[in-house]
Amino acid sequence: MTALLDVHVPSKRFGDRRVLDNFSLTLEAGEIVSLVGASGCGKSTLLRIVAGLDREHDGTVTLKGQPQHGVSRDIGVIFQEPRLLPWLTVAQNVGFDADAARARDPHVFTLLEEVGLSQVADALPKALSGGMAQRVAIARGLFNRPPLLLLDEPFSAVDAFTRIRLQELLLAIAREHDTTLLLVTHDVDEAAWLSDRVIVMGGGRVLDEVTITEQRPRSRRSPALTEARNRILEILEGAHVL
Amino acid sequence: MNTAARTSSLQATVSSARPAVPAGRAGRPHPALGWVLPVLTLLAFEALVRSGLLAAHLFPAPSEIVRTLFDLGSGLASHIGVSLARVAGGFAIGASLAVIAAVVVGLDRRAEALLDPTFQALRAVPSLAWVPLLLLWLGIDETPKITLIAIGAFFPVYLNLLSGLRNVDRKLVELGEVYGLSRTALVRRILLPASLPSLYTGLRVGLSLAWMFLVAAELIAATRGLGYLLTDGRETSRPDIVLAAILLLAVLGKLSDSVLKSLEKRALVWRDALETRLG
Repeated sequence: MTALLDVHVPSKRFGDRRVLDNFSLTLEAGEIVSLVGASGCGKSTLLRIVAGLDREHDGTVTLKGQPQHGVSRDIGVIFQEPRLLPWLTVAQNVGFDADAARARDPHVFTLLEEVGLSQVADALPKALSGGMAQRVAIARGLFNRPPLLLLDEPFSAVDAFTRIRLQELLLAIAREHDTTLLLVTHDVDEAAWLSDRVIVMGGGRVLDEVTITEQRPRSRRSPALTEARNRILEILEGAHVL
Repeated sequence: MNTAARTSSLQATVSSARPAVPAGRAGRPHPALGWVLPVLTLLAFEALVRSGLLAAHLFPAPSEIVRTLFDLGSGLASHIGVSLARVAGGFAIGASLAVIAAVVVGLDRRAEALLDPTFQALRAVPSLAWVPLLLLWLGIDETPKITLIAIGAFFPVYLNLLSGLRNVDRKLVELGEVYGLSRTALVRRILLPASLPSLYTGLRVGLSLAWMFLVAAELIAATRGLGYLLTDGRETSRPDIVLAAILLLAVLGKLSDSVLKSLEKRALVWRDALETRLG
């Protein structure tokens, strides 16, 4: 069986600075994997390479056995900020890829129902709270039913309670849509609670990997998660990142 | 856990989100407030002329100006019609060309290097400087007048839209890249809508300049129009006609701007800015 995603980047530089150094990553279908590490460790750059937004590298990105050269409908992207287009309604934002004509697509409404926003389908983004806007962005990311969803610190701009709710929503949706998630985060707790695997990065390389076997639904206070979190922090401390 | 069950708890948060429109403080000021200053000025003027403090042959009373407007009768309607048509035509041509030029220059650094310095130099030319050239090249009929007005409307629209395009949030452009938008689709679906506030600013400044350039065009070589009335009033020593024409220019300029302003308000309801918050 081939992996869903295979990434190999021998080297990626910004000027004299090497941001990725012999980096490899393989994702199986249905996995939830987090990349954690300090700012500048190359995790967001890696996400941009997988998304096809950064093509200036000497590596390869293979999705379902097919080499990728640029952006793909099979890869959804959710950014740190919702990035909703303020002049479009919530429904039009979700169905953005189908152009305005298909914004009345029943699929849009199904997605909005899943993120609990069907009643604001015709509202403009300015009427939404930060958490609601990020839910619209999640629905938009799922519009093309991508097998792989990339998330770049998606919940770092919302308050702690909203973050927990959004994490639960994301998990439920990933399970329902059978979507594989690759998540970049600063938040070690978030990584431990959400992921099957946490890849700890430092200096553009994989420092180590922590597999989390705890069954779902997970309790945030479970000893296994605490242990995983401590292990992640240990790795970061060991590499003098913390 | 299934997603539908999750959403019920999420729906509760929707009602606690901030409202679309915050409650105003003391409500909107009455629209009639704008009339106070002009009406008081006219009344004061009337009183000064009638009391003899101002010479009536140089400063006709507002009532006199109104009488002049009636005396001009159907001729006046034709003057207004001609001027309106010139402004509309010149503005439409100038603004359309400006939108095309701004998009071309805004998206292509080479086009910018090629065209922008020339545009900046031409912008510095005063409106009246064009008049002799346009008369020589285009004769004395409608073409030079509409061309002059188009020149006047072009630059504000060009400059504002260009700056709007350049200031579009890079993150929204990147969103377009994620969806693999072509260059045209990026312009149509992201860059132009995002620059709409700047475009409207440019259109409103452009329209007011179109009226200014109209007068420049009609002061010379015109037999009809409000600018012609100004010249006619001066040549026949009729300050009442001059003031009537100025009054009409003020009213028409204000009315046309109001039309544009209401279009702007409708097109930009999505803006989350002080303007929309003030209502």
